[in-house]
Amino acid sequence: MLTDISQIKESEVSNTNLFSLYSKIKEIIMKEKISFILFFIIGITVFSLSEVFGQSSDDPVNHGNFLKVGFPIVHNQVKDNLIAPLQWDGIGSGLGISYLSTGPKVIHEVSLIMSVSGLKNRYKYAGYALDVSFGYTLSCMVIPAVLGGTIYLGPQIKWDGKINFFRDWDDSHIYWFSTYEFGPSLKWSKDYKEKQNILFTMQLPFVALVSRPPENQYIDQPPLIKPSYYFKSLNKDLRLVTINNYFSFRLRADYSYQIKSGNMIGGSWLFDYKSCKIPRNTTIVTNIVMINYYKMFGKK
Amino acid sequence: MNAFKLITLSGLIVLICGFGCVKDEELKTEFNIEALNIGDGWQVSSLASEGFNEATFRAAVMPLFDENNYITVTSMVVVRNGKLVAEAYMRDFQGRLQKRQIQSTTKCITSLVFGIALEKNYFTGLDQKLYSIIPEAFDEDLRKREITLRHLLTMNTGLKFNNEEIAEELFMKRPKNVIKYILAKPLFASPGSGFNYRDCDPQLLSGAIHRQTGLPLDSVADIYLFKPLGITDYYWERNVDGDSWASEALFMRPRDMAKIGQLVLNKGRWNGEQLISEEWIIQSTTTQSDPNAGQPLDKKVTFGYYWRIQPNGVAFEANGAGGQQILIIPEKNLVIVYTCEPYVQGQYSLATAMYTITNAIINSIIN
Repeated sequence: MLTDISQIKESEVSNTNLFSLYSKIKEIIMKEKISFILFFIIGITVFSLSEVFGQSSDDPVNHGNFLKVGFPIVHNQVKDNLIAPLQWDGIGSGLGISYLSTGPKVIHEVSLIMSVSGLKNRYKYAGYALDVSFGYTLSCMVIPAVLGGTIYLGPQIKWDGKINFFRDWDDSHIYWFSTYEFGPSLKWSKDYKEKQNILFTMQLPFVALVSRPPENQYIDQPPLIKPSYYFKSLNKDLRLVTINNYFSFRLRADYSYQIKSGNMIGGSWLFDYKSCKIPRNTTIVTNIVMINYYKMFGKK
Repeated sequence: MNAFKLITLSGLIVLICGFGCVKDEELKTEFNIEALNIGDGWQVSSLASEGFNEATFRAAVMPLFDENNYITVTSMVVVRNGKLVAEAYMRDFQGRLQKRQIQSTTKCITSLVFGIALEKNYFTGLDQKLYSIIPEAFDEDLRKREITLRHLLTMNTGLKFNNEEIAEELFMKRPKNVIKYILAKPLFASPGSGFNYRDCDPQLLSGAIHRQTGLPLDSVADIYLFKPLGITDYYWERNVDGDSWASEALFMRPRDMAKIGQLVLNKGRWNGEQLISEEWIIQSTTTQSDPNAGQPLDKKVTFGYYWRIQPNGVAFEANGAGGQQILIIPEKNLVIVYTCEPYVQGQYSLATAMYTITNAIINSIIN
């Protein structure tokens, strides 16, 4: 089985917090054969896409082409064992820009989110996190009526570039975590009272190319003042990883409200979890709360 | 359930999940100071056999394992009477095999290598002019041609070079010809007119060694210093010219740093072999530069050839940013090595704090 939840005893569940429950589930997933997991996910994707055509939707609120601009508040948590087994966290902000094309059967989304956050560990050593995320998601309607909403499924490709600079601990190196991900994206969309829409998204990349710094940075002072150094680093020594040494998922909830002429305002919650075992264990968790404005420039 | 309730509920779930997902861990290992024989040339002995009160010693170094003290310390090695008596790797038990960036401690190793090259007649003497070695790197300023090897060893060239800038200018901008770049700096004083701690003078020395021996500094070190000491696992970064960075950028194991300390304590001898002349060691660890002229000798720190000399010469040190130290206390026949996170600066640096531990270790000696 992919995940045998029954393997988790009730007593264990009751005595643990969300983190350890999550870890337990992840551990069980890790024990299974990866090939079976991939086969399962690909199978579901293919089956679902085959069901797309010939179905219709009554989900008209946000159908159209939109330019979406968002102002995020970001909370970052980082633990990178390349530097120390310490949790660094902090709050920041940035900008999100997306192109959305939503129709009755298909949703296209191209999104870019950039943010800068401050970081601090328990000893109050400070640092910074610079995050850039760029991705494309194709979502095809698979089930038109689930809990009054519509379910979409499709592939997503995404690049995440995370650069952490732990200034007070290491003022000479950056610790990057760059990923090119591919995996399925599942959406559930529902309209409320004609002008409102909520959209839940879950993404679970199962294969990725990852770039991380080497285990020992035997370079005393890398050229941190050269912008090209950052781009080179983010694409340096990319390695193919799957769920056994890389685990990532993203949850997202969007609310939008039509104001006039199809334009919308709204808010989003976004939760992004990334964990990689190479060259050493690293976990980055990002929570984003975002206020959005949608400018319509074409009705579908 | 309306949209607002649904969104709020899901948002709360996301936030609760999100804020607890990254678990903080302990930084330090359990207390362990046992010295191990790993066949790297060190003879291991016990604290008691080498004249320490074991309980006092353990209490002295205990703070290094405290989660909230000496946060960035990574290792400690203690050698007495030529024997390894204690070692500690606070972050990782495998730390004894890990190379650490030893920062400006590198300068003192550069000084030792220069002493070897001098003894092997690659140079005519300390008063040999740098211009006679690398004339093409000099500009039109004739005063710079008076810079001697002695000026380089005593950081006395008078070149206007802010040490804070070196990281940005030399390491980050990475000029094609580092020696020429340094020598193009104007003079703020005549060569030999005053000590000024900075990284550019050792770098010129590295260029001179490369030119005269035909080998970069690290290769000379490897042949005449590291191999005879049994130091095989190290890394010494070079610049674009092929010269080793002489002021920093040497990565070594703490136990190997202790070998350097023991070599200096033994006045250049290791396992019965004279690797560096005794005369050079004495000169290097005798005051050559006095940045605190006028102060009484028992109160001030002076410099030999890059070695830092404690008041009244009770100890010699090779020091590096963050708290890296090779500390030699001849009177106690003692060598202590510390490594810390090397890129920690300012208020977080342990450079000064380590002396508290050192004094406590000295106080634990009963014989």
